[in-house]
Amino acid sequence: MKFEYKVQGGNFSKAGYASSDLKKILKQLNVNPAIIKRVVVALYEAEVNIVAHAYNGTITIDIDDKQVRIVLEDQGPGIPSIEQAMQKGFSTASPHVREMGFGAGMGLPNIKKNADVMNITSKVNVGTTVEIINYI
Amino acid sequence: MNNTSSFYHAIYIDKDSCIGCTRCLKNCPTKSIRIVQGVADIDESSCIDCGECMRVCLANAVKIEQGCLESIFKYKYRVALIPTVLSGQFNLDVTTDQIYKALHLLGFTHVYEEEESAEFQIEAIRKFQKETYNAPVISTFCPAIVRLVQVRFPTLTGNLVLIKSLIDITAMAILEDFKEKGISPDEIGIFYITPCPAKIVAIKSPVGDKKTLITDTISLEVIYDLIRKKLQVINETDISYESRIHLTKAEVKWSLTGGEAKHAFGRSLSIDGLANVTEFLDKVDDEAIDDIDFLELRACDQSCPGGVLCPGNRFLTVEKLGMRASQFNAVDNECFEAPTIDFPYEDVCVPPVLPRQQAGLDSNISVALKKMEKVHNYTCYLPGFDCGGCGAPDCYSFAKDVVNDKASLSNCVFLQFSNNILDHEHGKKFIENVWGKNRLQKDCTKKGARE
Ligand SMILES: Nc1ncnc2c1ncn2[C@@H]1O[C@H](COP(=O)(O)OP(=O)(O)OP(=O)(O)O)[C@@H](O)[C@H]1O
Ligand code: SF4
Ligand SMILES: [Mg+2]
Repeated sequence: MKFEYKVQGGNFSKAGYASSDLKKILKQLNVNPAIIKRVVVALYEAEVNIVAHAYNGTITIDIDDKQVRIVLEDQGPGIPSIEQAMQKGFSTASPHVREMGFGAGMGLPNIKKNADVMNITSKVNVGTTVEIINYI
Repeated sequence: MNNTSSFYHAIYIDKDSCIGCTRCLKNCPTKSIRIVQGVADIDESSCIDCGECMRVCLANAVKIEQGCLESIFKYKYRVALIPTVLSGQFNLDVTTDQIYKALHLLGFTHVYEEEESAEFQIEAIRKFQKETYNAPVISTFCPAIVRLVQVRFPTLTGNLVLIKSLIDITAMAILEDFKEKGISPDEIGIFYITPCPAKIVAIKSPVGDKKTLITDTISLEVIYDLIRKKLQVINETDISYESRIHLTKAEVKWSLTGGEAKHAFGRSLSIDGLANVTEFLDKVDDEAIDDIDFLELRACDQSCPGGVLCPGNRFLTVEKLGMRASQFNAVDNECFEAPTIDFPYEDVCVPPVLPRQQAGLDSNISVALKKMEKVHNYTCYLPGFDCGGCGAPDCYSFAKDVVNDKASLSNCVFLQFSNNILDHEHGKKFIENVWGKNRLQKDCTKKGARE
C-alpha cells in the first residue's frame, strides 16, 4: 500500500507530519511497537532534514507484509560529501535551524542506526534522495 | 448491560426512550455507538462507561444499572460508603454531621468515606512507583481512564498503578472494624454511593482484581435527593450515632483535580476531561515521554465533581469541597498523619491490567493491510461530511464497519445517489434499517428537529 506526502523546506511547524501519520498506520496494522519506533525515528530525522536543509520534497511510503520502504526525494542544495555528512556531529545547519533546536549533526547517523537498509544519493544543487527500508 | 457478555457495563440504552439522533454517536470518545433500527446501540467491547452519552442525551434514554435503597434492609449492618463529592453537593450551612445523620435516617447504620484510605493508598502507590520500570505511572483512581487505556492505548497498560482502589481498601478496613467487634461479614452490606457509571463497573467487574467487597452501588443523584428531604426534618429528630470523621484536609480534596497528583512521587501532572486525557496519552504513546513520573488522569471535567451522577454544578462543588477541607484545621496542614488504615503492601497489590482489544485492523499484518486498502478505497467514495446518516459516527468509522462486515455501503445516502444503482424503494430500505421504520414519514410529534 502506498502513501505520499509533500514536505516544504523551512516549515518547521509541519515537520513530523508524515512520521506521525505513518505511526498511526503501522499501529493499525499491528506492527511490533519496537519496529514502529525505529521506522518512525528514521523517517522523522529524514523529514526534518528536508525541512532544515532543502527547498521542498516528496515522501513516498510503500508498505507490504514484509517491509516498509520509504523514499524521500528533495529539491535542494544536495550534499557534497555524503561520507562527511554521515559522521556524528557534522552539521552545516544555519543559525536559524539551530535556533529551532536542530543541528547537532545526529540525524543521518540516527537514520542509519534505526533503518535496516539506508541508501543515500545526492547531486549538488539538484537534490538528495534517501531510501529507508525496515523489515516488519 | 447484560451479565452474560464478557464485558459488564453499567450503561445501557432504554430503546423505548431513545429517539435515534446522533448526539451520543458523535460524542462517544471510543466511537462505540452505532444507530441500528432507529436506536443507539453500544459496542460492549469498547465502551468504557464514561457516561459522555448520558451527558448529551436529550431524551434521557441512557440509563444506569444500579441498586435501590430498599435492598439495603436485607442486612443487619448497612454501611453507606460515600465519596467526598457527596458532601460537596451541599452548601456549607449543611454540616457533615447533618449529612451523616440524614444517611442514618435513610436506614444506614454506618457511614464511611471512600477517601479515608487515601493517605495509606498513596504510600503504597509511592512504593509501587519506586519498583516499576514504566514511566510515567498512570493513576487508576478513575475507572473510566483504566478502560480508556485498555481500549485505546493498549501499549500503556503496563503503566497503570497496580494497587487496589480507595473503595476496596476502605471496604477492607470496614470489614476489619466489624471483625474486631465480632460481627460476621454475612450480616454486613456495604453500599457505595456512586458519582458515575465507571465506578459501578469497577465494583461489579473489577479489572485485574478478582473479588469485590462492595455489596451494591446506589446513585449519588438518588441519595442526594433523599438526603435533602431528610434534612428538612433532621432538627426535630433525635438520632444518635457514632460520629467518626477520619478525613484529613488532603483527603477531602482527593477527588478534585490535582488532589492525588500532589502527593505522588516525583514530577506529576493532573489532567481532567476525556478529550484532554486522550490528547496527552496520544503524546505519551507517540513520543515515549518518560521524564514525567506520575499522571493523575480523570475522565470528567473538574474530576469527580463533574461526575455524570453528581447533580450539583461542578465548579461550585469544587469550591464547596475546598471550603469544607479548610474546616479540617485540626488534622490538617496538608501533611500526613500516621494512617489509621494499615495493611501489608502485598495485600493491596493487584495483578497486571491487560489490553482489552487487539489494537488495529487485524492481528495478522497481511489481513490488516488488505483491510486498510479497502478502507482507504471506500473513503475515496464517501463524501467526508461525517454526517452520521449511515448510523456510524463518521465516514472513516463507517468504512471500517463495512470492511469488517458490520455495515453495508448502501447505508450511505450520498453514495446511493451518486451510484444510482439502487431504486428509490430499495434505497429507502437501507435508510430504514439504520433509522427505523416510518422514519421518513411526516411526523409532527417527534422529539428531534426542535429548538
Ligand atoms: N536533505 C538534505 N539536503 C541537503 N543537505 C543535507 C540533507 N540532509 C542532510 N544534509 C547535510 O548533512 C548534514 C548532516 O545531517 P544530519 O541530519 O546528520 O545533521 P543535522 O541535520 O545538521 O542536525 P540534526 O539532524 O542533528 O538536527 C547537514 O548538516 C547537512 O549539511
Ligand atoms: S472523574 Fe471521577 S466521577 Fe468522573 S468518571 Fe472518573 S471517577 Fe467517575
Ligand atoms: Mg538532521
